[in-house]
Amino acid sequence: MDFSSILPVTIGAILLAGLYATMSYGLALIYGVMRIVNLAHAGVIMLAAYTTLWLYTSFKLEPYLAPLIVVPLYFLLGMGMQRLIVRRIAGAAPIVSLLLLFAIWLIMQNLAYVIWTGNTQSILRPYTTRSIQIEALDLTIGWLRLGVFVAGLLTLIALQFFLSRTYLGKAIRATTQDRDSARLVGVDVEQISMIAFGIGIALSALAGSLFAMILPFNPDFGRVLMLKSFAIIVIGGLTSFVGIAAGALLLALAEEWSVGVLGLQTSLKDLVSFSALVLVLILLPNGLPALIGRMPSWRNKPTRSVSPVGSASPTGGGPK
Amino acid sequence: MNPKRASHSASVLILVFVLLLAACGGGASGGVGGNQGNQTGGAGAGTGASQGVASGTPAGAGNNQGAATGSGCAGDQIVIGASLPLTGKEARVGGFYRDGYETAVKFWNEKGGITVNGQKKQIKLNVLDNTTNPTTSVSQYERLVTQDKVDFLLGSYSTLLVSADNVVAQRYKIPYVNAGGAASAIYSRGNKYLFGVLSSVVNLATTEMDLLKAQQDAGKLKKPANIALIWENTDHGKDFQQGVQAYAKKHPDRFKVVIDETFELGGQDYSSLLRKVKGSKADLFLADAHLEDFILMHRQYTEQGLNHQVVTYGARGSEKDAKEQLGNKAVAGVLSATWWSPELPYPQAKEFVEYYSKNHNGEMPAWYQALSFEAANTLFNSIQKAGSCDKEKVRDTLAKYNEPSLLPGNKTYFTETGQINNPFVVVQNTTKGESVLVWPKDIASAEPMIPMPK
Repeated sequence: MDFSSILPVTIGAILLAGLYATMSYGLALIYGVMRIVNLAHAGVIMLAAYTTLWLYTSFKLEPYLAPLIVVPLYFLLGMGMQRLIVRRIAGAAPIVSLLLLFAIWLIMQNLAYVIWTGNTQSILRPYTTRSIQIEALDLTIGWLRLGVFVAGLLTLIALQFFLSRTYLGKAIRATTQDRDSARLVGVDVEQISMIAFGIGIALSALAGSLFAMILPFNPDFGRVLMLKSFAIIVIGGLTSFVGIAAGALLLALAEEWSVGVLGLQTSLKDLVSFSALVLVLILLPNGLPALIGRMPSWRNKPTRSVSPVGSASPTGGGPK
Repeated sequence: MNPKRASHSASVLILVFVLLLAACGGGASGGVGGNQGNQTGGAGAGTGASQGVASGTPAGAGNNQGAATGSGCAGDQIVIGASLPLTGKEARVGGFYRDGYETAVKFWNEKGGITVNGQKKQIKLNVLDNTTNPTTSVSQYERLVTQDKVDFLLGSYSTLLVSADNVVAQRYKIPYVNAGGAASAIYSRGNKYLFGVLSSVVNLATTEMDLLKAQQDAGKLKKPANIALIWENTDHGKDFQQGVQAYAKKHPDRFKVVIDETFELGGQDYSSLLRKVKGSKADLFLADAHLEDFILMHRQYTEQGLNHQVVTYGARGSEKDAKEQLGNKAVAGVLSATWWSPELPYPQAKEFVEYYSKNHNGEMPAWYQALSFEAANTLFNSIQKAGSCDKEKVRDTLAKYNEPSLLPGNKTYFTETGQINNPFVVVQNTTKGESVLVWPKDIASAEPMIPMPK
């Protein structure tokens, strides 16, 4: 056990959590509104990474500015996907949507192979390897990692604001809680589903665009990230964005501490993530919020967490 | 549906899919619908033009239940088959190998071809793209032998692929000469049709450790020195790890391995591993990685502000791609033990460098092109020496092959296992973007920069 490395390992975990949370919001939002597990999530992350590369190579657009184009573009793509494909299987058994989105992922992968080949790509700019050195703490933090963390944090704040303070956000939450009741009070549920799907895809694309700056990618990119996103939203309880951020932090801490402090072989890091997923599913199927809900001191406190799956939230989180 | 029950059901469903995806995932990139186009290089080297599959003109390459024996080469051509990773994770290096093979074909064809039974025969190369997928590579070698009826095989790259696809050579009793598999485990399975011109990675590790020991004796390197030993979890990496560990155990007063960690080939993020390395307070960073992993790992190494007295990624470090992607400053001082250097003083090496540069607009070859050239050259020379396209005769000639060559040690020969056992050379990147030969001392062109520049 190496206690001297606790600080750098913990900071590394917090930065990693920002990356994990960013990639999980989209998956959670789509599940919340439409009760669909978006298996095309990895494909969207991958395509957004390639779009960022394309914007850079073709138009010399700096990669850190790419999200300004990628996010609206994929929002429209997501709405189109929902309107043309996903809407048609509304009400079908869950396996139908899983298979449909799995097929879409495979199509995206194969398109990427055709367009960009299977070669691994990476975006390198002069600022790619720059870092902040804090010698007193023997700490080095990469600028880009910090940037991705800040982007994840800003996304969380923006989502919380959007879902709790805007009409559209409230309508999305009403739809997640009860589609029929939402319809009764005048919410256009079909339109809201389309917008929410678009936002979910845009959030996945934001993650892909940010990752393109710090990780290499090929058409298979996103597979492991999606599996970790599943783990995070299950740990986070499928209930709130704050829960997802907490799930991401917990997972990142478990991974990094097991390697950096407890001395586990780095190659076994993923074992920690997926063991955590299995344990949470068996012991705590409703994730962290359920655990918090069971704690007496927390039970009566109103939560400010905003729920993409209001009805499943043990801590409430319905429209305010 | 009860909301909690719904949530629980969804969670279980997710788990099922996670397990499903984990089970079917993890394969090499290119596993799903990768481009499997065929690329044929004929007499002209360096073109790499896609011309479809070779027509399989040579007759006599039998397909009789597990043996492709026969005299072969009945037409005016000798057809050589190879499957290379032209797309996918190893696409860059796969391209270098195709280049080396094509250069050798052009070199021989310009001299009239290979003489068999007193008749000159031109060489035709049939290269398929295995998308860096071992399963595809195996099936493509099967196809080359059974459908395209090639006369002989040149190997794939890297250890992972050669390890899988060399069984085809044994199954069909057809000589397979490769420059892509260095792990000694590949050659320990009794495949008598397999020949490799890459020396074992254990030798690589030992060569680097010899250099470090000499630097300690010269007072340039700390003694004892703590080692961070990082290796890819493949037979290639295991050889490196065994080489370093054995050397450190033999010299406990000089070296101590303080961290010994594996990583997965083709990983996406090494930041946790590098944080652990930083925490170990090692003096030397000795890693064994393939090109893509080296580039990513060294990018994150630089990002984390790491600095060791010595940094090596085994055979990787001097590649132009790394210098272009990371910048000369980031890779300056990185040591790499390679199977070849253009600075080798042998006439065969000089002739190759001159010929390659002339045909590539003055570009200098790296060890990838040199070794793949030498693999092809060894095969062609053996066919000529055997004076026949009979696969058994050519195999026997390869087994006894011992000829001057461009490789370190100035000769190519094979041990009983089919693997060459030549020494390595160590090169080091300079701040100007060059790579200079620093070891062995008798042929070195520069003194090693140790400790590395910060």
